Amino acid sequence: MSEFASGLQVTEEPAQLDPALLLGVRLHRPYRTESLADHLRLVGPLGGIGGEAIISLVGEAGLLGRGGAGFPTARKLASVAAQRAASFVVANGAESEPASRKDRTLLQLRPHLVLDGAVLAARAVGAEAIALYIHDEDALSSLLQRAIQERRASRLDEPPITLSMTEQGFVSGESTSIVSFLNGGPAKPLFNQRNSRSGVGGRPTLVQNVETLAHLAQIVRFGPNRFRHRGTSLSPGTFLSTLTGAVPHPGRVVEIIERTTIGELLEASADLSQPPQALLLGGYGGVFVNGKDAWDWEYSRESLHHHGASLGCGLIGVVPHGVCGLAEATRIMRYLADQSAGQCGPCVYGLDGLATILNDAATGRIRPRILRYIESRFEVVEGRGACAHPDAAVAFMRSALVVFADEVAAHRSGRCTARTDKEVFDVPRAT
Amino acid sequence: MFRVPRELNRFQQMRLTINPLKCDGHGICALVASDVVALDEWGYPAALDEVLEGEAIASARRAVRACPKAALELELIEDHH
Repeated sequence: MSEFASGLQVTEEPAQLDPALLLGVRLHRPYRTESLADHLRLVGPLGGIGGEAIISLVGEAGLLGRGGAGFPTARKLASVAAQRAASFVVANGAESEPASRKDRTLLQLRPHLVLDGAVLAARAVGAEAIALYIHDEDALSSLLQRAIQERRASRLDEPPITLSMTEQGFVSGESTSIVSFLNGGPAKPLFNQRNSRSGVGGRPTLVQNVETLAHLAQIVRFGPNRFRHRGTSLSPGTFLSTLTGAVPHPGRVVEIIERTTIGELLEASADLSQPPQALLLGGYGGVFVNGKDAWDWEYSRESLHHHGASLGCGLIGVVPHGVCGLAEATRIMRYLADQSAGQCGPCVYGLDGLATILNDAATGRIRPRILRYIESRFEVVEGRGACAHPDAAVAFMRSALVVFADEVAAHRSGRCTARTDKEVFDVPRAT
Repeated sequence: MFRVPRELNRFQQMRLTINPLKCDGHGICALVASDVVALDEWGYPAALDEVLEGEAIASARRAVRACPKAALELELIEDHH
C-alpha cells in the first residue's frame, strides 16, 4: 500500500480497469489530479447512452446515495425525470462534516469521474445545466475550475458546468440549503421543499453527492454486475470512509473494497490492535458507540443501522481509553448548537440549552434531576425544526450520555477517568 | 395552498402543522386555541394532539387565522376506510 501527501491509501498494482473509485488507477507521487486526457485514456469516452438506460443501469446496480442518507439513486433520478421538464443537476461537494475528507479527496484526484457522473445524471433527468457546489476553498476551486475548463476546451457534448462556492457551515451542504443558495438566498435549509418538483430557478432539481456521481459513472462504464461484486447485497459497491480521532493519520481516506468488520478495518488502516474506548460513527452529526461492542460489527450501511448507528458520510472517529469522551462530546455538541442555521426557535434555543446541560455534566455541576429527565428535554427539540439538524444533535447527545455514562458519574463525584487532557477531535471553534 | 372546506363531515380528522421557518414565537395561537396549541419554554408552539376532531378543529381554525406570520396550516387527514 502506498500513501500520498493527503494521507490517501491506494494500491500500486498496475492500472487495471476497476470500478472502484481509487483502486487500479496509476496515481503519481505526490498526488496529481487526473487530467481529462489521462481520464479518457484510462476509461474511454462516455458514449451516447440515453437517460432511460442510465436510470435502468443504476437501478440494477442498486446504488445508494453516498452523501449520508443512503437513498436509492435510481429512484431519485426517476422522480426528477418524471417531472418531464428542463431540470437542474447539483453535484454536491460541500462536505460540511468538518472531519470528513472523502469528497474533497475524490475531487482532487479524479474530478472528471465525478463530472462524468454529473453529465450522465443530467441526461437521466433532462437537465440543461450542472452546478458543482463546494465550500469556498482556494486550492480545490482552482483545480476544479481547470477541470471544467479542460472539458469546455475539448468541446464535449454536455450541459454547461458551473462551479458554485459558498461559505463554511454545517448545514450549508444540505440539499435544500443548496437550492436556497443557488436561488440567491442564504445557504440555509428550506421547509416543505421538494427539490425534485421545484428547486433551482423553479426547475426540478437533482442534488447528488460527488461520490455517488462517481459511482454512477463507473456503473455506466463497467456495468451493474461488476459494481455489485463488491459490498453487500443490500448496499452494493465500494464506498469511501474517513478515519479520524486517535489514529496515526487523522483525515486518511480509505475505500472499503472487501467486506470487513470495523475492527479489521481499524487494524489494517489505523494500527489499532485493541478495541478503543468508543467510536464516533457517521460524522460529528453521527453517534457514539462502545468500542468493544462495535469492533466485531460488519462495516456496512445495514449493519450499522441494525446496531442503532448510521454510516452517514463514512466517518469513523476513534476515542481511545484514557481520554475523556465526555469532554470530546461536549465540544462537539457546542459546535452543533452553534451551527444551527438560526431559523427555528426550538433548534436555536433547544440545542443551546442541551449543549449547556452537557457542559454542566462535564464540569461536574449537573443536578442529577436534570439527567433523570433529560429525555423530556430531548423531546421538546426533536422534530420541531425545519431540517434534520436538531434531530441529529439530539441523537448525538443521547449516544454520548449512554456511551460515556461512567464518565458522567465520575465527573459528578469530582473525578475524571482520563489520563490525558489532549483533545482527540478537531472541532472548529466559534469565531 | 390547500383550502379547508367550510362544511366538513363531522367525522373528518385534521392535522395542524406549524412551519418552523415562518413561526417567530408570537404565541397568539396558544392564546386563542389553548385546547389545541401549547407553548414550549421558549414561547414556540407545539400541537397538543396529532389528530384533531370536532370542536378542536374550530379552535385550530381560529389559531390559523390569528397567526400574524401565517405559520399555521390545517390539513385534512386522508380517510383510510
